[in-house]
Amino acid sequence: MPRTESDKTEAPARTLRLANRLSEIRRLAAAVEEFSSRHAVPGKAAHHITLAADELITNAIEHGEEPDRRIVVTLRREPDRLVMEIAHRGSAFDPTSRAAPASIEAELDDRPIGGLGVHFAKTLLDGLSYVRRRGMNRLTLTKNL
Amino acid sequence: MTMTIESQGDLAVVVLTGRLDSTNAADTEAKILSQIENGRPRIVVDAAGLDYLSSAGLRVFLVVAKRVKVAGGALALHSLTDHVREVFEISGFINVLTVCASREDALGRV
Repeated sequence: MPRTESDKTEAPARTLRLANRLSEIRRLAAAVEEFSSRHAVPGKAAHHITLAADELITNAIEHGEEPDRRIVVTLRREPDRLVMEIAHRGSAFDPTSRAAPASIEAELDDRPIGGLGVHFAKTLLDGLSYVRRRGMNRLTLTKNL
Repeated sequence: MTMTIESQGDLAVVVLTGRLDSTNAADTEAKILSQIENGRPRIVVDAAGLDYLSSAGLRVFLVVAKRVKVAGGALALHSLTDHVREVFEISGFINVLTVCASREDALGRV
């Protein structure tokens, strides 16, 4: 179906409900790939948003306390960007407020193990924002196309 | 992801195919560390078939690199694909881990 530049309210979208399990991240990766090829999203951008989502969702699952909670992911193909919203209910968890990891240039012996995930996500994305509303953690990931 | 290990003396060549992420990082790390513990502190990782790497996977290489150093060995990776190389570059790990273009180069570095 043809879409005009100004048709912002009808951006193609896809919603997935993931179980609170790391293996679900692979299902998300497959869905992003399929959505991207269907809506002319370049492979690099799709990979970047997939990797960023992987890092953020892994963080949320590993730090979360509620294994039964679903994670709702919505993808939107806007005229000039790919947007992914990740929403999950649970205690407040804002990855955007974390401090950057210790110097990336540190020698091997000084390099701490861990703390890279959120840094990756921020570096790979053009936008990352967090909002907490009514018990829901909502992350918005943006990749310009 | 599939992992095959070819060992020879104090050297282990680990061939990774597929994705290395939070779902299989711990298992992969354990298997490589076991090689070091069993007298093979020289580790070459063939990454030609690795098409996806997240920070969880990258951390495996960091742990291995630190451990081989203590054991008197070395770690070298080779034949990184574009996506995986990008992860090494973003993290800066390209400067602290030994990354080579070929199996031959990697073997010469461990």
